Amino acid sequence: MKTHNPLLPKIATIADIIRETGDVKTFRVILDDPEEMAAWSHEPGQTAMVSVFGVGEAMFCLASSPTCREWLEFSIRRAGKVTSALHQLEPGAKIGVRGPYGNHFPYKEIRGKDLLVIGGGIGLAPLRPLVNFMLAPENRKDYGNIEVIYGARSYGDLCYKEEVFRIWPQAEGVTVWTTIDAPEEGWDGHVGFVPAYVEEVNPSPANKFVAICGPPIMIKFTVKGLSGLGFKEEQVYTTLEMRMKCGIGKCGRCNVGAKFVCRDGPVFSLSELAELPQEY
Amino acid sequence: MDSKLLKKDKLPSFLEHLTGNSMLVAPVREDNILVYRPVKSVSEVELNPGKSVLPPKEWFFQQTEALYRYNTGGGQLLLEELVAEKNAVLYGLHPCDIRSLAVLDAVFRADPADRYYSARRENTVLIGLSCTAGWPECFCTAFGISPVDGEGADIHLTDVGVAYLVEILTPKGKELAAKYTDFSEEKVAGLEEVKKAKEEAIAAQCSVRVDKDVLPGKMGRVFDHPYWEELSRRCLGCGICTYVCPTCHCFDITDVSRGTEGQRLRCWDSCLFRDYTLHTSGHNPRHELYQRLRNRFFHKIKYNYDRYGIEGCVGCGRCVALCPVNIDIREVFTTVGGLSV
Amino acid sequence: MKEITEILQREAVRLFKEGVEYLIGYAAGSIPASTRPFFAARPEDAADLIFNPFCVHNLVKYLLRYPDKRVAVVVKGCDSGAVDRLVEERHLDRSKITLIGVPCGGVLDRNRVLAELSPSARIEQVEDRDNAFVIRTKQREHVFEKRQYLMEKCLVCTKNNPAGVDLLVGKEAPRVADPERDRLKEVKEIEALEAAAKAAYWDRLFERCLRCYACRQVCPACSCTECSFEQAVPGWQQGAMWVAKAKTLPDNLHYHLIRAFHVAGRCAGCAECERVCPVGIPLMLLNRKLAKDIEELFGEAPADACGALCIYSPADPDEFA
Repeated sequence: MKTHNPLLPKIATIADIIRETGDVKTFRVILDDPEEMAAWSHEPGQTAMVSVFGVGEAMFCLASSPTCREWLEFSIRRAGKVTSALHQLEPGAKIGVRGPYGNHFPYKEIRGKDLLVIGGGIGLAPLRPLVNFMLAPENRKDYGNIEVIYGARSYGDLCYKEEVFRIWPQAEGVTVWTTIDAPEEGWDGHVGFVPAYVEEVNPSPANKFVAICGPPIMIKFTVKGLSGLGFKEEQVYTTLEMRMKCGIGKCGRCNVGAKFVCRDGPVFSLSELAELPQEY
Repeated sequence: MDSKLLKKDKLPSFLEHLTGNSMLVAPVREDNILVYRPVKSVSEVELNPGKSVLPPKEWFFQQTEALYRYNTGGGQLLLEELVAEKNAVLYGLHPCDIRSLAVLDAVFRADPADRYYSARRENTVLIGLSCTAGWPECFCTAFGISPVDGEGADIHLTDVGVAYLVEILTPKGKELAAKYTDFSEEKVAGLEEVKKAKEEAIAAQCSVRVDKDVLPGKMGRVFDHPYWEELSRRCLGCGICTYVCPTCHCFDITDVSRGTEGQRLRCWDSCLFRDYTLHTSGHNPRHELYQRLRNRFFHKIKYNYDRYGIEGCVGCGRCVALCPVNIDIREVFTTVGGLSV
Repeated sequence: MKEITEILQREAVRLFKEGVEYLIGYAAGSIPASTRPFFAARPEDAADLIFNPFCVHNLVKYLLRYPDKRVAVVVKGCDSGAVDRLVEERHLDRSKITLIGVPCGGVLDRNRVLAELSPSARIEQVEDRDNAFVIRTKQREHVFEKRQYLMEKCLVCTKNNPAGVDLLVGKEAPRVADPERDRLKEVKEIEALEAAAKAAYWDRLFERCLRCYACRQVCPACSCTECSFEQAVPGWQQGAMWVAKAKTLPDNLHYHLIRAFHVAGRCAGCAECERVCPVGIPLMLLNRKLAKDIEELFGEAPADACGALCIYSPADPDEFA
């Protein structure tokens, strides 16, 4: 039997590419080996390494819910070498995938609770699988209401428009608030930054699990706002980003204190983060 | 545990017999730089080596190593793993370096185990060598490592005067030692005393003490102390300490292509380099040198204990000897111990 | 030695009173026969300043970290040349810098000295007796003849009394260079080798390079805020490398030869690159070779702080056209 090599990716094909915004695309990826694809399982919040051979590898959150068995989805913003190379690929292109890595949102522990999800821009990507997981028919009864507060710089920068404007608001027990930073022709929704909007919406902390993801500055001010609304650090979770290479806790670079973000994260509660050096 | 006596002049022949058709990796002197290299003949080996510049970790965790080949031609993607599975005998590890392998094991062999490191670890027999003298920078005893104790090696040699005391410590070592039959029949008394005397003589040179029950906790309380910024003022931000350190294991992964074919390589990296944690966005969690230097010492003195329950430093003293600006980890221990918080 | 240290400490206290924020000098090292760069920030720190023949470091590089502060720095002759270049290249504001020149009797080759002293020797005193340094340990006195024990760069040094400094902490030191020494001896020997032998010589050395970048980090001529070999640029260039991160012989050669050209004409000759290399690559051979070539091609231009390769003149040799 061949010994498992954790650095060797599985070969996968890009099945479809959805343009979310000017610089974000969602890649639907299917592992070439049908057995591997069938055996793949991940939990909401986990990540995977995506390879473009000849260019490099980078870690992305899995944007698809574990309940989706047809493909894996990665929502990727064009920013550097690997992401630019990915953006130039067409459906049918071969890439490498290895994972899933890292920890996940404590979806079992929060059964019976309500969910508040706050996202900024592409920050909605790691939160989306959590929402879709909870909305899946087999899981819906385990969770309470779902509130989504989501904003971006402009309408064009909002990701997952289909879910945000149509699917989620129509689902049972789900309310979605959206906002954009500055007024825009054709937009008659809320205008303003996410942290301020959160205070306006004034969600209740009772029986609530909160997951936030977005630009660091958005998280910083949102957390302040939530604290003012009575939310506790133990009930608020976020995901950290770090430069990663191995993804399996060996190359050393993604550490925050004694934790490796690739293994012990990317999901951390605010109370866990408070105990770590502020180097992230 | 079995022990034998080997007359000193028989050491080359001993190594030859044990190596057989495997590869012998041993200390060699290249232009007065002592390193561990595969050798073609025992005559190349420095049989009584001092402290090498590069630690023997290089054999298990190569400076640059090909992970796999890829070929993206013809719309297909083919991957070919490149794992070295050759048998080897690694001779001449001092106890500090032997212990360093336990530290590296905790990283590389933890689930999911690294194939490349593990293959070499499994296929290499370790022949340790007790120190005959300490160097001014050595302080292995601070971590409870004894300069004459071969624990972790398969076979361990100690110079006891006219001969080597050969301790066979593992079944792997026993199997290999069985290939040699010319041990000395002489019965020499007081070998344990000789070993103890050597240990004490070397230990006496080291005045550093590290209390592993106290120091890691203390480190946690001095994270924001200005000491780290002061210490970093003379630091050049080069990678010497990380590269000569037997327990440092950070690496980078890069692709090198020619047309549609190429290799994915891994190579040593240093947490002191500016771009070590630089995000694509331009954000750098450790953008100042003092943050990177502090992070390194925290790894060595605290995070390793926190994460793996084993020290991150083995007191080999290479970083102390080779740091161009005399940043001395022993002083860091002592200073941190004395800070009042 | 003692006298220089005393004057240095006195001047340091005075400089702090005059508003200097940092004084970069040398303090005692923690291993035998060594010193370390020391950053004095208050008058009380002056008492730790020393000067002895183990003060090998070129402290000028550190000035780049404090471009807006008033800094004083201790310089030997081989260090001070680097300041002019950096000022010319507008990295440094000369008016903010106080150069404390030391009349240097030469720097001892630490490894050769330690081979003579016992490993546990504690050096108590060092005296400069013009032709030799006398080192007193607890046990005895050792005489180290300069011709045998100084660093290579000292034996061909023509500027051991630094010029262009703001103060000199001692009397002018006698010439240290050995008049019989040909600074280009080894360079010429290598030049005379057949191509294959020359390649083999350099391949063997650069095979050993670890790419620790200590040579670059210590070099005052390497003053780029972002080195070409990092190119860690945010945006689409991220990860694009001129030289692969991985260590291979071609990439090692690439790195060293390109760096030598970047430094050519600007090299101060402090030889720190060679000193810090953990695997003993004689990098100064490259720098001396390029300096020799520049002199042959462009003539000696010592007054030109910018270096021959930074200035264009229609009279420059042109073998192309």
